[in-house]
Amino acid sequence: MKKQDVRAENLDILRFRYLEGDASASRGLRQVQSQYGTKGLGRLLRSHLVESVGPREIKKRDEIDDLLAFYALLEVAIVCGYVPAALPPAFKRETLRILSEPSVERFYRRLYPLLLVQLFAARLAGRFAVPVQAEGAATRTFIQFLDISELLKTEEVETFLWMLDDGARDGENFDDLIEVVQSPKELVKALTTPPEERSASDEAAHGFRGFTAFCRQLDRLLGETAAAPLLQSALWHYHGYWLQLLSGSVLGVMSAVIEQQRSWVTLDPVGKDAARRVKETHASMDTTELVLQRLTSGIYRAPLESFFFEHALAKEAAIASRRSPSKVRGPQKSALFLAEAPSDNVISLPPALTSREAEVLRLLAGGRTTKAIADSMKLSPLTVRTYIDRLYVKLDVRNRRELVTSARRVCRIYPDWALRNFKSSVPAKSITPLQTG
Amino acid sequence: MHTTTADNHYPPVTLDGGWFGRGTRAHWARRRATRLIVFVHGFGGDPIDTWTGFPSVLRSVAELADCDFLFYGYDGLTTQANNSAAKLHDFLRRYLEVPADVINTHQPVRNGRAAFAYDRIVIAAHSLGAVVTRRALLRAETRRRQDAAAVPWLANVRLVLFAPAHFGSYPAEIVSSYLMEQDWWVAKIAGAFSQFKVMLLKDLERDSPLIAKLLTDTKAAAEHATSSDHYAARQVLWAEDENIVYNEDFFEDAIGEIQNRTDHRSVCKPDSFGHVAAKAVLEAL
Repeated sequence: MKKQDVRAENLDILRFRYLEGDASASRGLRQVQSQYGTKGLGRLLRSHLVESVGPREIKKRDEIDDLLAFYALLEVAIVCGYVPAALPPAFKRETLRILSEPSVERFYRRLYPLLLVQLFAARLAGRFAVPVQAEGAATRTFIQFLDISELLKTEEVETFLWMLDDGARDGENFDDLIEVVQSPKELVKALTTPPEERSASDEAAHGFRGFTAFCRQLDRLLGETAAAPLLQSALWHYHGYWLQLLSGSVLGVMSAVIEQQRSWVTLDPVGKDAARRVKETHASMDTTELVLQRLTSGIYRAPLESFFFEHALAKEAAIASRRSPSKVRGPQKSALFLAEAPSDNVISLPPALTSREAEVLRLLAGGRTTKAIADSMKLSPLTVRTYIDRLYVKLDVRNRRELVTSARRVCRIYPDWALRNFKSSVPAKSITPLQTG
Repeated sequence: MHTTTADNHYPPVTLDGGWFGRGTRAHWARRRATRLIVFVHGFGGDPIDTWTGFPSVLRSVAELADCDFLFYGYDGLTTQANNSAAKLHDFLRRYLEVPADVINTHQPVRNGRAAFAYDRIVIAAHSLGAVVTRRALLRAETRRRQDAAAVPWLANVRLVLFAPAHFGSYPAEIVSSYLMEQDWWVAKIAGAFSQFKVMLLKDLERDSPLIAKLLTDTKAAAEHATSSDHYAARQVLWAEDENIVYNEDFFEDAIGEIQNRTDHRSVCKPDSFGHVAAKAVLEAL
């Protein structure tokens, strides 16, 4: 079979598995198709930060999210040379129509920016495209990537990710998970309870283990693709949402838990001996903290972001010099819209912070608790909480995780804001979660 | 054997739910396959993490263009071994009955395969997976004795074992292998975990009834079996730095071979086509 036939067949099969039958992305596709241009679709795809959504809506949003994730996967597949860069005309037309639907476009571009989907849309519109890796090795990389990505699809890991994303299940959330993994008794109970009898945080404890196994595998694959930085960055961006959630305060909390437990003086001689053997056998293995720090540091995120902004801005300038935007119609207009620099989304007006607020935010991003921040700044915990509340209002968020994620996003898009607020007081190590790409 | 850059297999797919097991992963050949390799992970393992390296290596072997690969998944943490064996047996029985039916429901119609049967089936099992697989095949052998036509595939099965736990394991150590990624948990809970009433860990103790019965049942089955292939492993690889299972030869298995510079987890993770783990599986075909 010729190489191009194999690629076409791969695309056929991926479309069959994701866009046909009862697959979640397939349901998402039907939802968008049946609601083109309606207010209902716009309302469904609104920002969570302004108005929360109910469980039924979440399911529907997830299906559309899965559809967009499929488009992101196709972008990765194209870059890997696994499917043809030139998609069948009818499929391309329909996909462009979906990606140009105003509510959908606002969703993946402004409210929940998905870089791979934006790049896919730019590719389909013929504006600019990430170069395809021609080597056979990239095909193997894609297969490995598909396999590794499956590690996130177990119920346990999905529960962990749900909690990581600030979700609650059966009334339990991320704080309950931290309590479980901090207590030897609770942890053993969680890990030894049969699947059908586990609580949500028990399940998430398993998911935590599964997620770190995924992180190790992804870290290894990214290491193997170092010679192709754009491909490497594309693989990272596909899972970037979770990795960014992990960074900042969550990584800080997890590192604190790990550090505390490493220094734990156990009275259990059997466990102590097993730990010694693990250490001896796997002396060269990177610690989990190191792997997580690498994945959340921004080194993998930056290449594709730089590529996107450079090309998007260049294309915008070229188009603007040729014609007035008001004369551009249809898919071209959409492509121009995609190429615009972010201007009016939820983080478009970075708020001015006082030096105290900036310091509190910096320490929060480093994973410090309220009490630790209070000790460090020689303030009362109540005062620190007041600063945190002010930050919530200024950055329009509801909790600490959103606060750090939102601040990091602002830093990335408005480097001046980052420099103004953090340059003088933030050591290199702890600025990591907030540094620019 | 030769390596190839041609992509001879379809995109992998997960066969989740029902009798497919947990997260079972299929890499089906583009052309009609005559051979099948089934991988069965061990304690706390999974179909992907346990076998890191195998999919890439096998897909790059030119001579395996007519070979399907299945990475079977099950709950290897709390479910007792005999239950997992019964489920694996059920999976093999149903899948091998009409493999084309399963394959065709996961591909577009034009890629459909006509009905076929595999000429050769290699089952590669790691650690606890060896116990689960042996018990599953003993069930199949029992069925064969009751009705010879019921399990035609059994005669085509061959076994390859990596760090098999068929003589049991050290409880705390096997738990620590599950918690490798969370090494900071190990000191605190591995001992407690192993003392907890987890049926599977009791199963895997050296003198457990399950371990003792495995050997006696295998010997009994051997007296009636028409071929030794499904109870005597063709290849057995032991890790050089093994501290989790007991390295001992089992009944009529091939003599265990030490694989240098490996431990219990890495013994089944080939990094290249020439790796001993990959060679062992290929030779069994």
